[in-house]
Amino acid sequence: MRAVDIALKDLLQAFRSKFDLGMMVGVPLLITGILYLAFGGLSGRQAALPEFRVLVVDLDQPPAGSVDLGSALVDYLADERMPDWLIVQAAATEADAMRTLEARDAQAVVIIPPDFTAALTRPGGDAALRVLHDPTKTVGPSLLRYLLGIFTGGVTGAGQALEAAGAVFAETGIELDAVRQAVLAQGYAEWYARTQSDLNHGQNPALTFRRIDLPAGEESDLTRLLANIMAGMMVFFVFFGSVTTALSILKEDHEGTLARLFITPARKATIFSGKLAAVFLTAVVQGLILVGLSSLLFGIRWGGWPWVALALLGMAGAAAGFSLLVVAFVRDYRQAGPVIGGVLSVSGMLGGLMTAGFEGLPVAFIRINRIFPQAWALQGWRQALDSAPLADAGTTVMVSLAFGAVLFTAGWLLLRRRFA
Amino acid sequence: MRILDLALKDILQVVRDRRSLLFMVLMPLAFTVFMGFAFGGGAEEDVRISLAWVDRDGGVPAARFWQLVEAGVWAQLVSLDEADALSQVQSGELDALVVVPAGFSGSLFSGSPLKVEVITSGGVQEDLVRAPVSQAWLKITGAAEAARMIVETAESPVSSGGPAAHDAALLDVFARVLDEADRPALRVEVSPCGELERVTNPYNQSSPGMLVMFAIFGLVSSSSLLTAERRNKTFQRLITTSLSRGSILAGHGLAIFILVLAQEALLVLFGQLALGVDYLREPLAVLLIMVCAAIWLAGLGVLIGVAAREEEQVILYTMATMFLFSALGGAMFPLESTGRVFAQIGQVLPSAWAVEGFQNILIRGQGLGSALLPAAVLLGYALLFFTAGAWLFRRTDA
Repeated sequence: MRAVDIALKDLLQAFRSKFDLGMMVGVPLLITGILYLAFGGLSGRQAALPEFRVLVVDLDQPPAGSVDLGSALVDYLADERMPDWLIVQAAATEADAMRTLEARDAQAVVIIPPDFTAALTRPGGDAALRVLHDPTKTVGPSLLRYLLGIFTGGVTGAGQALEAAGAVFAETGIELDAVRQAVLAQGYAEWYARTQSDLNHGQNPALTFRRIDLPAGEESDLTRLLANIMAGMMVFFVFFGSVTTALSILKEDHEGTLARLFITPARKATIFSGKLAAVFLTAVVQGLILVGLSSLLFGIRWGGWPWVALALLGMAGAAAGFSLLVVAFVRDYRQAGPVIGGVLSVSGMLGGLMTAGFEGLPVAFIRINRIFPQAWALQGWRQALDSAPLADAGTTVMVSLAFGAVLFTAGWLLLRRRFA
Repeated sequence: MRILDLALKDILQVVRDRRSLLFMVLMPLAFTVFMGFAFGGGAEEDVRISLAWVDRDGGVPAARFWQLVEAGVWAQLVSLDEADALSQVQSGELDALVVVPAGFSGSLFSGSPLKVEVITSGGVQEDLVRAPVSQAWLKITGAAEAARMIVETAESPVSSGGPAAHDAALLDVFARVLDEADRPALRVEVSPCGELERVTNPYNQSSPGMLVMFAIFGLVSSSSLLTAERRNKTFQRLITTSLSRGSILAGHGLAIFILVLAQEALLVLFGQLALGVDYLREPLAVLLIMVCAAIWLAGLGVLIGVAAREEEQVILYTMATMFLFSALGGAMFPLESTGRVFAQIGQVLPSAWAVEGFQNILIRGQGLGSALLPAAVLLGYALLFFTAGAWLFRRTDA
């Protein structure tokens, strides 16, 4: 009974402390919440792309009587049917545009060269559109490249058709006279203008886009990613909570209440069992709260109760053993902060908790993960998320508990020697 | 002079505490290397969307359509059974599914191509899929239309020999037009402003990001001195001296400023010497951002130190501030990869201005002038936090 009393006292202390609650529950939810908002939560399931401001410098000087391809490009980019993230403005000179780009008031500059129309309407002529962009941006420039590619396809398509026609006609001995060339070029240009206009927006678009959402109650990929990140954060902060609770041993030693406990009829083993039970229970309660709140707030589906129970058991067992060993290494209560901060950060990082949402990590890094109990606790939650075979989840729990037992034994031996 | 004495006392206290070494030096160094390793470089070549491709047609033009989409740097294609593909798109494992209908190749040469259906996942922005598929579709249909017109214009000499020869001629001309398209008369040359090396070094993103993040985290050590003073009653002793309350806050603020600046200097040197981040290409601009960021953080540190009643609260407030400011401000990951609303909120934070100040020099290759606006904004935030700290200090003291 005394062990239970000690455990309940420590448990109450941990959950009455606003600081402990903030660190054990608030911070992991805060981190996952920020990522949830960053990658979709603020705009529903489909986060709108950030605005991308483009300046177009039209230096084109078309020959008299020719079409004005530079203006056509400006009109194309400024078309109201363009995506709403693309904001296009004209700039008078390249220098003006570059100044605006350097001042970060635009993210890209499209430069239409002076001989743009002339080069493209001349047989064999060629031209280049230059796009300079803010080097910190990658998404907007790549999308702009595709949008410009659609325009250039139209401009150069007729010429390419004529080149191919020339070769075909030469092989067949037919002359590709000016009339035939004009018919081909005109026909192609009309087709392209019509098709590009109807490509996505016309009455009968050639490409149809349809969005499919998950059936009600099923989990999206974003939720899945968040679940993995949340699992990593949960293991990290459960280990933190466990070490903080185990610190009560040193705190009581520092305040002199541990010495008082030792002179009661309670055996040392009973006292330390109570402390260990408090750590284990704190981890279980903290895990349950985080599982419940993350399900409610982010829609994470942690799998059925058997998997959750197994993952909780493995995590709490590993965390309890780990905590006792860490506390055994700390010389005094005042020294606890840096040791705990350092050990938890380094072992959490090497145990894969900070990269729980990443894919394609190096094999060597994954192998290193395995020598830390945090990695096994994390694996337990991943198996819960996947509803993996219970036998596999059971094996993971056994490894986690074995880790916990070994670490606990080492910690217990050190503490027994200290308080002999 | 007393302000200096107070600041020196604080600095000695922090430097003598082993925690400082961990929070202010070792952890930021480890995380800078780790984040650079995790995020990698070469963003221009990133594959950003994954497309499942279901070809019900099986013809040559349909295969060329696949090749054209795949040739872009934007999409990674996988060929899957339709039911599996649909299920993976629905779950968000894949971004989209492109279904090329049966009879597509034949319909291309009739002038009325069959519709291609693109099914996108609920979790992806549609424009990311629309851009590469539309461009490739226009190329393929354009080549087919050109082939149709050429063969029709050539009439009997090319198309004689019945429907089979006609179809073969169409395919042959179609291939030739596409070959011509590989040598475009109009090129689009996209390049980032500045030197490529600056863009591709992943530590140019992670080094200043971690610098800002851990400069906030370092406040755990320095801000807790204010709280410790109150706990140890030395603060009560201090206010019985001739030192004004403003001077006491200024002394603590000065200590935090010097400590943050020293931490920043260490991380800048590490970035320069170990990670190839060229901070020293514009030493004055870098120094200006470092100083202004340190002043801002001194203000924040004073506010935290005054607001927290216990040292434990300092840790909690600092960690919450660190995660909020560094994630929202683009210190942990680029704001470009987040949604529009998140990025707009993030851009007004002081952390975003500090990161931007460094990025102007490190990635954009700009000079001292580019550091002025971020520096001014950081000073504005410093004033705001100092004022809030002083107000709270007077209120709690009263």
